[in-house]
Amino acid sequence: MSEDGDDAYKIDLTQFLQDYLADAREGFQEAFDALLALDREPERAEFLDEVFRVMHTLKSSSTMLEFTEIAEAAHMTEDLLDGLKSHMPLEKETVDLLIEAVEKIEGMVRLRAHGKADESAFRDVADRMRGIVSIGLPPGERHRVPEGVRPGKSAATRRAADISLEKVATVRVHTNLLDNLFNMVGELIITKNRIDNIVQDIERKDLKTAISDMRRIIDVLQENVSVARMVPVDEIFQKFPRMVRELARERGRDVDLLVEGNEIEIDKALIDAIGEPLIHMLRNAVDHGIEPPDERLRLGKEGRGSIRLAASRTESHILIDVEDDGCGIDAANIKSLAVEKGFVSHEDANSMRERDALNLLFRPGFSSVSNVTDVSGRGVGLDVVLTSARKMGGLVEIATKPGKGTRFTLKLPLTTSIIQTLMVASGGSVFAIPSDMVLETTDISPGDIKEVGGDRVMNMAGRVIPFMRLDSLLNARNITGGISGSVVIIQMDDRLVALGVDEVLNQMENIIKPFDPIARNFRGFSGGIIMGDGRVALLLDVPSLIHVDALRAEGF
Amino acid sequence: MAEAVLLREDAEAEEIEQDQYLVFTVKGQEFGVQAMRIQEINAMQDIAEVPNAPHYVEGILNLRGRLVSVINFRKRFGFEAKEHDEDTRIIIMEHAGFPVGIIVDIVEEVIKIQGEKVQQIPPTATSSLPEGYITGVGLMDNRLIILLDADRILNKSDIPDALAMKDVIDSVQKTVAGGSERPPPQ
Repeated sequence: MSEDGDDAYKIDLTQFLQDYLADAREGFQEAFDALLALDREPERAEFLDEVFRVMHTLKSSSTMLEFTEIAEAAHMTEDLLDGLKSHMPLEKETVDLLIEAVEKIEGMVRLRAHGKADESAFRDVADRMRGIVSIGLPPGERHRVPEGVRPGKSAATRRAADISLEKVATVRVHTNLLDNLFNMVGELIITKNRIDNIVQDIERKDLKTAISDMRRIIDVLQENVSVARMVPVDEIFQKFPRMVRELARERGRDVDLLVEGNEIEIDKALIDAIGEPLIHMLRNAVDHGIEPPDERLRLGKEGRGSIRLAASRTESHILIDVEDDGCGIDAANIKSLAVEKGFVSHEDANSMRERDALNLLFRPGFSSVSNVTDVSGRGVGLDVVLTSARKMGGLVEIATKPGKGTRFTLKLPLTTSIIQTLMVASGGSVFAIPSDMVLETTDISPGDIKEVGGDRVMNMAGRVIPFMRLDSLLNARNITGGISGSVVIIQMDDRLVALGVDEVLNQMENIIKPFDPIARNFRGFSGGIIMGDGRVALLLDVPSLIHVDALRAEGF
Repeated sequence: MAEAVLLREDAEAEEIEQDQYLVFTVKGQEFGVQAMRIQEINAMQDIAEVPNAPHYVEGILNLRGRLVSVINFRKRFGFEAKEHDEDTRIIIMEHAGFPVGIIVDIVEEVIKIQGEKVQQIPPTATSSLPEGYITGVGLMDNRLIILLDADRILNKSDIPDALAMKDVIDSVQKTVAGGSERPPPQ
């Protein structure tokens, strides 16, 4: 931290700029929210006041930092907002211009963050503003702040005024520090597991008590550090209303995005990772879910479609729904298309359950087949969504009703880095399986396994499920080949698979260590675990290992 | 891990220079990689085997709580396998921001090979390897040290032909021995 202490003056300015940027970012978000609301209800002038307040605050803080081009642009936007009050309700084009203006200013602020400025960035927007109302009052003239609007204070003034009154309840912490803390907790858990290993044969009551105290403290510590890493999904959700609006405009759709559960918190490692799949899902909903307005009207629906983006949490998972009230997906269409394109045989398609037919959409290459969007009403990049979900240890579910709409659910584990795993021995090595995929474990004898058409199956409470040995899946060197040992019943969606292993060892809490770039290419594993004795056990990526897609095709 | 030699600490004390190389031996041939890229050198330790991985991947080891992929230099370049012995070392090298391990027969030393002692190899001599694998040949007294580009040999996308390195060694020895009036290396 030596670089922090050398130049107090410089740091002060940097801190000032940081505060300015943070305030501006918050302000832009409020402005965009207000403008999107205005887009829905163009007659409500109070939304204009919201934007006005943001512009006013930005103008004064920009003036203070001598960011004159931003101050001027904010000033002109204030003029426009003022003038528009007598033009209610607003035309759609006017709202678009306002959004564009705020976007331009946002871009100018971003430039300043990198130490650059563009004096002319706003010129074109300003010209178009002049076409609507007269703007450009003398720069010195102060604006009358609308009634009921709290004049904003810059971060600096606020700090000076309030700092002695408020107790500091939160501090900003660099994410690197959080990562370090988190890693150290991981190390602590590994060390704890190691100690457990060493002391298991030592009969000393005081030692056992001390270790169980330590275990409890580590649990609390781990929980607290995990909570500290949580951020609200709003961090990413807030980008979507604008994106969906933009997409809808491009595609000639009329769409409302309803956001729910944006206060739900998830691990910060997941925040970045869910962005891409969610963009795919939303784009998909706009492109292929929501019908064009005239078609919707003809079908007796409201002309404006709606997409619901909702986060919620269960005991073990975070669920993110993207649900549209569009055309839905017809499983029969998917089937006939899959046959046509050679993904499945005609017979398989006929006996295929609806759910499995829908899952065909996630096959790599299926959705990029030409014309699929026209025929099935579904399209691009769903395999990407599934791949990203799996990388996060999650999955994707589809529910659909033709004519009514479709819901895609991204189902993610609560925390990614510390999970319960079942340790198993197979082919001379130890592997870890995420416990939430394990339905149960049981011993088997050869009589439990039958051969059906070349495949091994076993009977599980009246249900016939595929059986495969882990060591042969892994081409291990010491394949025992036999059918003795134990089976781990793996559950994926509603599908069960019996995985034969030499021995089921134990269940333990583990920190999942990420792979380096070389190991990331190893198929069938998604990370590793350092065991109590210091050895590495690989974490099985079960779906990719057992070729789930192939199972689907075989009708399991 | 008690034998770990931490080069990075030296690096901080006195800057490791561009022309310093870590020299190691595989099947009697000396190779050099820039010392500034080396993090540490470890004796053999437990390495978790990775089923279905490329043949030259020895596995994954636990480097003080980090998972590190380990490549076997012999397998990587098509030399016959050799039982690990007390001389076997794992060189931990920085690649794309991550540590990566490389198993070699023997680690010799860190030496300075000044520019004038590095001889460029005509491309024809190394044509069986992808371009850039070999950055030159260090000629020190009676030694012939093949200098490798650390990143290229770890890059998955351009795996050379299994026998290529052997050909190159032969070819390099001939070229260098013929081109400079030195006695051929033993």
